[in-house]
Parts: sequence; structure tokens; C-alpha cells
Amino acid sequence: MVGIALVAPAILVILIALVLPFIDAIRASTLNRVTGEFVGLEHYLWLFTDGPFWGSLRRSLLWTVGNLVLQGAAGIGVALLLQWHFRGRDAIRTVILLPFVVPSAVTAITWRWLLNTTYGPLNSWLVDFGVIAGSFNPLNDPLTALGGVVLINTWRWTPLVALVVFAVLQTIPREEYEAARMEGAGYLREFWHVTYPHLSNSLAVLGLLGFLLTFNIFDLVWLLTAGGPVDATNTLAVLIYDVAFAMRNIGRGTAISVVLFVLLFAFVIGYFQQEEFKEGGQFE
Amino acid sequence: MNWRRRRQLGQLLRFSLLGVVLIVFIFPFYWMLRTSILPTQMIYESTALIPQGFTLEHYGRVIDQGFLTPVRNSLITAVGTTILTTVVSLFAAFSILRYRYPGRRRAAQLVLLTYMFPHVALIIPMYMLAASLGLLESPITLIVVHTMLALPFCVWILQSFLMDIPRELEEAALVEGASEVGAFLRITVPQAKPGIIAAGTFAYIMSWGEYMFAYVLLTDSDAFTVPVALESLLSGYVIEWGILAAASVLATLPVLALFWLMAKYLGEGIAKGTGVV
Amino acid sequence: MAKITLENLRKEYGSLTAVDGIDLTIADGSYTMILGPSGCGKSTTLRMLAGLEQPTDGDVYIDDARVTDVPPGDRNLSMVFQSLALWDHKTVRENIGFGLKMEGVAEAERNAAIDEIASLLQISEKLEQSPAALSGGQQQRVALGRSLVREPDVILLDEPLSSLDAKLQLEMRATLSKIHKEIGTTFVHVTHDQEDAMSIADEIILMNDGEVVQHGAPMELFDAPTEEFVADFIGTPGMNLLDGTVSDGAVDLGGVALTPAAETIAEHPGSAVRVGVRPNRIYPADAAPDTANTLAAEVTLVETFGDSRWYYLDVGIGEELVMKSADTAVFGTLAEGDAVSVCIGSEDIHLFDATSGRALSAA
Repeated sequence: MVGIALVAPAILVILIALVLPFIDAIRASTLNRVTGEFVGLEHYLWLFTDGPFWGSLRRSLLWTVGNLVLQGAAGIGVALLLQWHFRGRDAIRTVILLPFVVPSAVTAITWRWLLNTTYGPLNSWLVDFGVIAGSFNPLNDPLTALGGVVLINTWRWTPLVALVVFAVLQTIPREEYEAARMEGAGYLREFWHVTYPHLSNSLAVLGLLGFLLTFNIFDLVWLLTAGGPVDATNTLAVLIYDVAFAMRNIGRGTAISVVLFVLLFAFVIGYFQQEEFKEGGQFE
Repeated sequence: MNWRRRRQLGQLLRFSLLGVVLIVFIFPFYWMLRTSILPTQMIYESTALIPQGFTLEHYGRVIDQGFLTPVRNSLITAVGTTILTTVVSLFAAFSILRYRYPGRRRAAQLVLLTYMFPHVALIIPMYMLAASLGLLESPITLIVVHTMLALPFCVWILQSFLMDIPRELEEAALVEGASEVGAFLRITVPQAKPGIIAAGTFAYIMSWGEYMFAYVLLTDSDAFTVPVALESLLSGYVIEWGILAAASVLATLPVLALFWLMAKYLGEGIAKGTGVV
Repeated sequence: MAKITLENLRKEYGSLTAVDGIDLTIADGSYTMILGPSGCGKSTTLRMLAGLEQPTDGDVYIDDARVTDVPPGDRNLSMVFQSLALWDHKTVRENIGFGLKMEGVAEAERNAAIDEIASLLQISEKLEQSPAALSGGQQQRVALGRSLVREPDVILLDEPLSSLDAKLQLEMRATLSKIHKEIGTTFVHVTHDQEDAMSIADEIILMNDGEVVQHGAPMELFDAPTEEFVADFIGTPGMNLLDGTVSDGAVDLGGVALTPAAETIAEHPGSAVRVGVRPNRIYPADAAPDTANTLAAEVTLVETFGDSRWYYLDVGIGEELVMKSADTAVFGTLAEGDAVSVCIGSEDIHLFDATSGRALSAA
């Protein structure tokens, strides 16, 4: 039928670019990297007992949750600032997207330059104004590195979150605000009783998608810190790359990937069972 | 009037905060721009806001070093990805919404599955697959991979835009004698234009900035895309920030071209997808 | 111009039967309206006629040719949708001319036909605009124009007047009527509004629960309803319907008796019945003194509609009767609280079986 023909190309692309390689990866996770002989679950064992899995998992969770919370708060905040019309709002709405549209490589370069202890403006100004004692690059300090990349990633994605929230805000009937105002509600009450209820549905969906997407982010972290210093930013995604590529241990790397996939898959299933999902049309 | 003063203060606060937000988002790029036109000496000496000097030598050197090649490569890949993704996701979204056939749900779920995937897990198998097919340096491999990466998002967006198009518009065309294909091309597609633009710009921007697969799949420096080329500039022993800045600016320009389109359509597209708009 | 035959047409959605095997013939050149409450199957029937839904069983014939398997575009009919389904990314001209374009008609000819229709419908100045820029009434006429320009055999309309305001609705009814008289094509119009049907239709097909209840001229349904459902649905306001029992050649309404025409109750002694009287068939006693049924009533409420009035009467049986009149000379001074004697002609009393709803009449 026509329907099947139309959906076929998409399925084909996914099969070729995702399913096939993944099956291959699963196969590779059971082999010894050097000899190619079958070693069963040896890599998995290493992963859970000897390996850096747990540390990376912890970092991935911190990374994801941190990002979601910050992006959510900042995104909603910016959207609220844009909510009521003013001259030039459309222009500003366009311009703030800048951090998001720019390639992550450029973002990494830009921030590394900004935070540069010797030549970067941030350090030099902060020191000049006496805010900090000496030059400091958060990306170079194991204690602050994870926080640093989280902040930079938040900076990158907040505009998109803001834009989406903004679109949702536009659908809230003005009359609801007017009714609240007649009943004497101030700004905060307006937010709690009118704005938030309308937002919460979208936020749930965005939260889920954001979780999955953020969890798997590799490029920005790698380009900023390469997993360092001293593993401080070695999230699972970075770990996989590190082990599989840099250390050339394909078996172990793919084993981590399989575990990661299973984890996320379980998470999504759990999420759907728990969440009474509105008919968003995706599974129709 | 207390009430009026409060409004004014509120407005003042609002615009101040907006100002701060704007600075936070734009300043880094301004700084890169400034660095790119500053003579090398001054880059390392001055942290003045307004550039005290002007030179285009960094741009010159970047181009001399062949930076336009990755730009061209990225352009080919991005355009290819955009076209492929837009067409494939439009067909898929339309199919899922308007037709019934066994396995339809599974297909929709498979598309969503792509989204939750740790793509980093695929780079090596993908490398080996491409190598075995001799497609390692061809843009085709990257286009297919990028399409896979963009599909779930684009299908999702298009689904929600298509849902808003009343079936009656297509039915009216059928009654007037159009074929199914005709109704799709003449009615559905024009009506879905905002969604198509949203999906297209997303695919373009995602493809332009994609680093991970590009890094692994393109080993010949002539085939490098922009992010890979940038990274290679970064990892030298001595980092020449002037050149890096110029390269960054050049890398961003092609994306800025679609910037306005994206802002207009993408936010709404995603909001629709969350089932609200 | 074509006649339409539906044979044993049935549509099921899973366990839900929307249309329950109906047989119908729609006369060539008639303005036929399919009327009924929400969910009665009228729209489904129309869509099966159009070819937009495939029947679960049964056949559709246009002029004796079986079209059940023919796609909608090849049945030579046109349709006006409830939402109008105008394409706002095309101009009005392109909207109207779309069907002609699909037929392959040359541009010059197309434009001539479009111009003619547009001037007939008075939308000529709007031809190059998008439908989105037009008023509701103008959009209606564009949709109508699109359906007329191809000169199809049958024109289908799916509740086209539902979303209009009252004034526009009246205008459009007149327009539709006029056009039908001029071009004589078969019109099949679905509506839930019985006023639409009573004012425009040559024939009404009243449906309920997937079945055809009565099929006939409007006044037939009005004056000779075959079922209580028809009596209640048709008319503004609907027929007064009360419970009663047949005894001694009259009908006992619980303290008050009415004597219908003798043939009507001849064969149903002792039956529980539903008694129906049209509101416009109740008169004050001094206006028509020579009828067999006179009741003492008190006016509890008067509703005024400009030139006609509805009087709610308490006749001592619990339920109220509604009397309707446009004749203020006769009723002019009647006000709430007044006592009045009213009479009902025996031939104006309808009886329906209390269980089945079917009309009781002379054998």
C-alpha cells in the first residue's frame, strides 16, 4: 500500500545507519579486540566491576540533571521576559538563538578562548575588578570542570528551550490572565495559576526528550575538556569514545554502549508506564 | 499612582534583564569577531572591548590554508542532508498519519527509538561498514548518517504540523478529481510549509555542526567538514587564536544565512510537537 | 443531472453500526435533504455517496451505473464541505477552477467558466485574493462556486450552513434555493437543522440511528409523520406530545379527554398512546368555535418572536401545551396569567403507539 511505500525510506535509513551498525556493535562487544575471538561477557564483567562505569554513570546523571534544571529555569525565565509584546521583540527573539545555531566546535573554541587564563577577557576583567584573586579556568580544575561544561552547554541550549516555551506561552488565552488580574492576582500568582498549568504538559514531553538528548551528548564535552581533567568530565558518552577509539578497545567500548542503550531504553519504558501520556500523535 | 509606578519599575526590570540576557548570549561571538580582526600582537596583549586595530590577515591566512575546502564539503553535506531528511521525514510523517497498515505503530516507534540512542556507540561499526563499502571519503555516508540523526526530530515536527491540516482539504481535492499523489503535492505540501521549513532548517543546522561522526568517518583532510577542520586547528602544539577566531567566524556564516528562518519556524514547530499549539 | 440509488448501504466501524443497510432513491433534479440528529448516519451516508468512505456492504448507483468502487474524482459529483475546505494557499480563482484543471480544461476556457460563476455568485472582485481574506458569507459562495463550475451530475453538501450566523444562514438558504431552480442539478444536502430542510427541500430523508425513518415532501413529514420521532423532530417548535390512554372513543390524558378522528382510534381500544398536536393547530375557542375538543387553559408563559408568539398553556394534566400563532389580531391580548378556552380539531390529533412510536392511523 501507498502508506508502506512512503514510510519505507525512513525505515531504510534507520536500518542502515542505526540498526545494522548497532547489531554489529553488540557482536563486537563479545569479542576480544586483538584476536577477534569470542569472549562472551568478559567485557561486561570488566565494565561493572573493574571499570570506570559507575563513575561515568554518576557523572552522566549529574550532567543531565544539571543541564535540564538550568536550561529549564533559564529557558522559562527568558521566555517570560519575551512574553508580552514590545517593539523589537521579534528581532531579539531571533538573535538570541545564536548560541544554538552555531556549530559546537565553534562554541568550544569560543569558550576556551574566553576562559583562557592568560589572554582571555573573563579572567582579566574579573581579576581587574577584584572579583577573583587569581586567574582561573574552571575547565582546568577537576572540581569545577563538570560544572563548567554544564554551564556552557546550558548557555548553548537555553535559547531553544526559551523559544519553545515562548511558543507555548503564545497559546495561553489572554483572558485567563485578565480574569486573574480582576481577582487581584499579582505577577507571581499569575504565573502559578495561569502560566504554569498550561506549561506543565509541554514541559513533561520536553523533559523526556531533553533527558535522552542531553544524556548522550558527546561533542561539546569532548571538545571542551576531552573528558578531563583527571576524568572530571568523563561522562558515559565520552567514556565510550575514549575506550573504543582512543584506547582502541572496541570490545569494551561497545559493551559500554550496549549497557547505556539498555539503560535509556528501560528509562523510557518506565517513563511511559508512569506518565499518562497525552495523545501526542507519535504512537497513533 | 502606585499601580503605574509598579508597572514602570516592572518594565525597567524586565528590559534590564533582557539586556543582560542579550549580552550573555551575544558577547562570546562578539569577542570572537573582535579577535578575528585584531592584529596578532594585540590579541595577546589587549582585552579592550572595542578593537583598537584592524586587520584581515587572519582571514587571509585561513583561506590560504585551504579552509574553504571544508566549508564547501560541509555545504554539500548539509544541503544533501536537508533535502534527504525533509523528503524522507515528510513521507514518513504523512504515512503514519494518513494511512493504516500493519506495522504502522512499530514504524513510528522505531523512528522514536533513534532518538534515545547513544549515537557514540555507532561510530566504529559505522566506520567499518563504510570502509567495507569503499564509501569512507564520500559525502554520501555522512549524509545518510546525518539524516538518521535528524529523522526522529523532523518526523516529530512534521507529524504535528500535518495533524493540523484538516483532512477535508485533501478530500476536497480528491472530489475535484485530483489523484492521491496530486492531492498530496498540491494541497498537503503547501499547507505544511511552515513545518517543512522548521524541519529543513533543523536538519541543516544539525548537519553543519555535527562533529562526532564527521571526525571518525572522514580521515582524508580534503574531505573534512568544518567542525573537523576547526578541531584540527585546535589540537596543534601552538594554538594560533587569531586564525582560530577567523575560522570560527567563517564557519558560522553559512549557518547564519538560515538563522532567521529557524527562529521563526522552529520554536513553533517544537511546541506543536509537544501537543500543545 | 442524475438520480441516485442506494442499495442496502451499510457502514460499520468495528462494533459500531453507523449506517444500517439503507435503501433509497433520490430523484433526478430534486433538492433532497438528509436530515437527522447528530450521529444518525447522515454524514456517513453522504460520504459513501461521494466515495470518501467505503461501505462495509451495499452499493451506490448514480443513474443506474454502479459506482461503489469508483474513486470520488471520477464520479462526476462535487461537494461542499462543512468547513468549506477552501485552500488558502491558492487564490479564489484557483480554488474554483481546481476541478476544471484536474479535468485538463484549457486555461482560457477555465477562466471563462470561473468568471461566469463568480459573477453569478457576486464574488468577481475577490477572484485574485486568498479565501482567508474573505468574509464568511463570501467564503461560502466560493465553496459553492467550486462545486458548480464543473457542472456535475450531483452536488453534495455536508452541513454547509451550520457555522453561519442566523442572518447569513437565511441568505444562503435563499441562494441555494435559487441556484437549484436555475440549474436543476440534483442536490443532496445533509443537515441537522430541520428549518433548513423545511424551507429549501423538495424531499426530506429523515434518519435516526443509522436508519431512514421517513422519506417524503416536507409537508408530508409535517402533517403526516409516520413516527413520533418525526413529529417531534420536525417543526418549530416540535409537535406537542403527551401520554394518554384510549378509552370509549376518546383519549384520556389524565383528567382531560380529547376526541381524535374516529378512524384513528377505531382499532386500538385500551392502548397506551402518545398524543400529538401541532402548536399551530391550537386556537382560542372564539376563533374557531365549531370543533369537538375544547379545553380550559391558563397561559403560563408567552414567548415573543417578533411576529409570532408561543403560548405555554396549563390544561390541568401536568405537562404544558405550546400554542403557536402569528395572528396577533386573534391572539393579541393574550397574556401570562390569562385564562383562555382553546380548541383542537379532531383531525389535527395524531396518535402514536406508546411503545414503538409508529403512527396509528386508519387501517
